[in-house]
Amino acid sequence: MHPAASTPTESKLAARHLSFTFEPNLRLDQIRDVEGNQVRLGKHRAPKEMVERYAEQMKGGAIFPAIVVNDRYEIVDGNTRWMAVRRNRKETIPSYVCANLSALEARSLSVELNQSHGLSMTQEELHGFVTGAVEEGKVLNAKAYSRMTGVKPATLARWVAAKQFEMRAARENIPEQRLDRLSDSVRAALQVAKLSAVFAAVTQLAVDARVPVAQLKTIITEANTASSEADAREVVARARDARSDDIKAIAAGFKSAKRKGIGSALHIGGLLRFEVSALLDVPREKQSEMFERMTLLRDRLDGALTRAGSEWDLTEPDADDRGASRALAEVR
Amino acid sequence: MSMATTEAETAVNLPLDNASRLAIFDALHESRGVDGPLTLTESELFERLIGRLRVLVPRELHLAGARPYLHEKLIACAETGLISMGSVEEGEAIVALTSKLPSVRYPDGELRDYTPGLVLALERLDGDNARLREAGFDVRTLIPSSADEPDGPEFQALLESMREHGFLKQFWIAAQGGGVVIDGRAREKAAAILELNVEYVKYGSDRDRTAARRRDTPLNRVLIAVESNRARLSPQTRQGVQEAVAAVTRRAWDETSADLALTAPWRRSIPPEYSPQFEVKRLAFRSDAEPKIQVTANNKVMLRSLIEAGGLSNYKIKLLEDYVPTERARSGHSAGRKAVFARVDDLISGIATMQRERRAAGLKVDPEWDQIRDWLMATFEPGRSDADADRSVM
Repeated sequence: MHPAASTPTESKLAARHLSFTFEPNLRLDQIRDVEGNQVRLGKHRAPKEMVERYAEQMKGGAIFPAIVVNDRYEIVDGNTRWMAVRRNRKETIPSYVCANLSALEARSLSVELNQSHGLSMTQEELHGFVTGAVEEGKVLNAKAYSRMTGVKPATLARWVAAKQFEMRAARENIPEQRLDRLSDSVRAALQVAKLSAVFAAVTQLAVDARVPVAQLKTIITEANTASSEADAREVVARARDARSDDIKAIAAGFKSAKRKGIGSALHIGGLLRFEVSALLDVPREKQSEMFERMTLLRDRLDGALTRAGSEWDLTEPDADDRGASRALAEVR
Repeated sequence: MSMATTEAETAVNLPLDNASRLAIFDALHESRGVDGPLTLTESELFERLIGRLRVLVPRELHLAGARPYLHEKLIACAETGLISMGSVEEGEAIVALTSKLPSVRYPDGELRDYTPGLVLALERLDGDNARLREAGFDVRTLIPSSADEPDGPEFQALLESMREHGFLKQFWIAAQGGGVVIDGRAREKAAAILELNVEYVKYGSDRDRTAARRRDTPLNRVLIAVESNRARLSPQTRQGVQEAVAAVTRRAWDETSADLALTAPWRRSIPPEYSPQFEVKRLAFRSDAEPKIQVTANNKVMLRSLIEAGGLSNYKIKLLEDYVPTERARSGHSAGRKAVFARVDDLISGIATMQRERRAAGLKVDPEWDQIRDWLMATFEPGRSDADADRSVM
């Protein structure tokens, strides 16, 4: 085997059913760096210090694995090695020449080879590659891509779902600029909506009310399991009504009013775990401060109970709310 | 579309952004009306093209910004006369195709006029092949063969014929990558039963072999299997194959077939063999001998010249195959096929290993190998090969 031949590279090329030849003496002046073949952003490509280090190692006799080019000798992988050889004023470089490589296949190969040697790609570069593949219509195998990129399968799945959401939104004629504020997690959650009308309505709701991911998932799950399209739309309409204050505030230019209710309910639940004796079990040096805080808490609870009695609807909760009540009862 | 070469043929290289220029051309070409080219505003073109550009040049879009990138490419296309971009409406450029075609480099290295839609068709076929591969599609299971019924009259008649005439070598068997027989399964089976030697397809050169390997895709196997058996296949069988392909590729066979027709000249184009040329000097094996051993400045030795000068027949090069990494190149003193070169250090160690292993296996070891190795050690300073610059030239 030629010293510049690389078994890992060859096995990766073979796994992709690529026809390739090993050329130990490809002339540097034949090699071109065209647009589209690579995924690395400019700032991360062939960093100067790495080029210098490689060049010195080469001068000392080190033999590096062959670079990868397509059959038009356009570079796919090995920028740093290519630059280092040029720096040493050599005329040739060992190369794998791959036949029939599409731009996407070239980029996909570039990702895989980059992750297995040299400087790993940044999250931004990997994200760009994965979303590009989705746009191309490739069906991603999350496990294989995870192995290839080193990104967790769950993260990959989120990127893919977010991209699919973007493409679906375009098909539904939802203007792209409206979606700017939606995070990848929100996009991934919205993509799960089955019916086209629900997708459009719940996306609109997510934009207008800036609904958190967890709540969106609940709404969409309920809509997806509805018995008819009308019922499913009704689910979203109810969710929208429940957030009408938020929608108005956001439309008026105010930030989304963060509801603290969920947090306070949890803390009250936490406090209920303590019996009186447990609440009094406080070190001597903290007792004075604790007394003040419990007094403050009592005053606030008094105020809250007074207002809740007049402002809240304290009639029997519906089926969904009963679940929450049961959870609270279990805490008690 | 004419496949004639254009003025661009004389150009040394295509622009580095040619893929984007072809995408612009295809987008505008798709917008053509029956009466000729349609004009689009830059924004309209952007909307039609941005998805494609995100696939083609995501890095460049990220670095330059999508709209500035497209604008820059449009100006470049206009400067080369590919599009007209003259008039401006409400501050926006109007673009349209001219009669000029962009150029594309075919696998054989030739620059030709671009056939509209070629790149997209190639990508769709790539997708088809990937799906067929992933599904383990095997066209042979869809093509009936008399070998499927060894006791049937057809296979028995074939056996009888081959018993009388032997294996007719002019009817070779088409075997693809991995020895998979696409056409000739019955003859292969009959030959095995009758213990006859089989003639498989032979390639005249490395180039032909490489070309065959390049073309070995699932769709190509479908074409070979269907075309070479066309006379005996019923229309229903052919249709069955097409439907089976369509079920896996998830698009109509007619679409795949149209893409195959569009890309046929591209797929038939065979890449030239890469031929590095080494600049060599010639050294003598003995002081009284003519200098014949070709050596590069960075101590790579042309094996045939070394072995012959050392008194061995040139076929003995084969003995070194498993022990010495080699490179193929031409030199000013070699004609015909590319010569085989090896680095001095690799030769010194490789010959020693070969001698040792052959002796251990009780095989003959020519005494000339010792002389060759001694000559290498005496002539070259070990360890110099890697550190020196290459002196190879085309």
